[in-house]
Amino acid sequence: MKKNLSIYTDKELVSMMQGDRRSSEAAFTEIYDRYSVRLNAYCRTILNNRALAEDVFQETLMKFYQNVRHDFSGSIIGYLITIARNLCLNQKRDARPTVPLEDFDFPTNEHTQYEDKEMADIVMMSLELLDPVSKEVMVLRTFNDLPYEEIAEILTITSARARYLAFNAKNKIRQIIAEYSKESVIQKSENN
Amino acid sequence: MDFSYLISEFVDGSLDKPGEENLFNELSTNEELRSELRQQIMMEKAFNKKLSAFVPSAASTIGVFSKLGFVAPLAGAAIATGTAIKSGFFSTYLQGIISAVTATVLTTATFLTLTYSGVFEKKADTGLSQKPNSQSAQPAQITQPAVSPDNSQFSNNLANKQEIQVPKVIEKIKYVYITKETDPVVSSIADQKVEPTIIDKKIDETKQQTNSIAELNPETKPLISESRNINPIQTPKINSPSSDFSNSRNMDFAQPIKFELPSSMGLSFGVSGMTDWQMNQSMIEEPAMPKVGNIAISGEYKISENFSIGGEFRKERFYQSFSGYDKFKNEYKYNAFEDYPSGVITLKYDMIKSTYFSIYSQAAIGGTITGIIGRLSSGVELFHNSLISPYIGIEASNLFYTHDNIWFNSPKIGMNYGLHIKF
Repeated sequence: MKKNLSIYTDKELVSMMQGDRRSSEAAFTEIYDRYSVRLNAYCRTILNNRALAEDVFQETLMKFYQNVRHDFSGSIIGYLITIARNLCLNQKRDARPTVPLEDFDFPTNEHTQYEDKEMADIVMMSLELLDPVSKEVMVLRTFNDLPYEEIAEILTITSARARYLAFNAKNKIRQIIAEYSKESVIQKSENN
Repeated sequence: MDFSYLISEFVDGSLDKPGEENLFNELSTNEELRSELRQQIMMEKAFNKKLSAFVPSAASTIGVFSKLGFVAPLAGAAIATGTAIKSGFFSTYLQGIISAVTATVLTTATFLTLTYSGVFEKKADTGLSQKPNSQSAQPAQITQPAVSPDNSQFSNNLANKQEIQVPKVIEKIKYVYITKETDPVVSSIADQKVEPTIIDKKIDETKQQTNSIAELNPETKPLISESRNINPIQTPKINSPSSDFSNSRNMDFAQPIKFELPSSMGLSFGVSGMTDWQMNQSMIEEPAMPKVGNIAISGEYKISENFSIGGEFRKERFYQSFSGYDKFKNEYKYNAFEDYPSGVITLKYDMIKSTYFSIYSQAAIGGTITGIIGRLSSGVELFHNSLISPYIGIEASNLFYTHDNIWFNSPKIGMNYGLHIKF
């Protein structure tokens, strides 16, 4: 009978991964179910390129599996993000400095209502207007739900700095949304 | 106090209780602040909604899992058609079990059909089998070999052959005696002061008895000319001076019901291992073989001197590689070494056969959970002894499967080696 691993803690899953191949596969599958969306969100938003993000996503998980099998203790998502971040930095270093508009990647969910989708797109676009560190803080905080202490550790800044950057980033995004809302109200009234 | 910061912390879920009290007090009187709270909540919602759009593509998932040699946890988006998600023993092995059971049932059914249709009945001169209750068996009533090793008394060659084969078969014959309603012939025999046969009877006497019975009962064929290779001594010996059995109760003896096991049933079971090489060029590293992998159990039945039919159940590996598009129009490539349970029906032909070995070729067809398997093999089987025969051979297999209504195949070649246990 297949075990329900969703009740297992991260620590238990890690120790399972260090066991035999069968346990390792089951634990890895559970970890994938838990964290793949968040890891993918990080890769996609940081790289803004679907193909590159997929490569980094896969490579991250491969490295994670190989490393965890040997020796690991700590937060799984934190470790995944750390690996992904290093790979993203490598990709950015090697990539072109600009991204063509057609490659600009806004993931969409078909089931989202139009207004919500529009709002979500604006929020995502706003993220791109932030400075890289603030953007990363926002992605890690909003998408990955990491505590500020862990974000600080990954980005090698203080947690107070991480809080401050998150607050500033939210303000900036809010301003952008407000601007956009104003424009759209004006546009609608002009059309009428 | 910066209430915007408190709102940010509150929405974030990291505001402490005193901060919350201050914020709520201020919110109750400050419309602008309430508007800001709404905006922040809306923003948070937007992020959450966006997160659901970051589900990794099927290609990414399959890529990760296939590189690690695992089964991708997808709902069939990019798995070969017919492939189910594997979880638990039964869902993993169900198709294999069905294949094995089907092969076994088919083999058994074929065997029984051929047996009762008389295909396996040997010619009279082979003397190895005959239909139960056939008329020729009626008079045979002895339970011990009553044959003299001296067969020179037989005048014809046929009789000699039968005589030679006696000890081989006769020891496996059992009889059950039952009484029955009076048979006119037997009754008339019994009325004549029946004295039963003695066991250690010489062959010439036996021959006489046979003839005498045949004369008494015109429907009873002389045993010597019939198919039995046993010494054909019959039901109660009549007026024999050498009889030492007394039918004191003067009972009617019914025709005996005979059960017979042939000396060799022609069945064999095998266990084997194999090593194989995938013919399609692999795009990924092949993972280690699981503990239970590349092994087989098989059963076969000899339908003639050179042909055998049977079934085989294996746990074997195929390399599958194909590409397609998921529902989000993302292209994916599927590369995986899959370990499948498989079941096939086999037809084996002994091309060259000697006392010590045979060179055989075998064709097999069957399936796995994901497609159809065809296999050709050839090898050498050594007749080490009458029970166990080791064999070694080479084989070529191909798995045919579909994905998005497109056929793919996965060929491989290999070596197999094992033992046949014969019955």
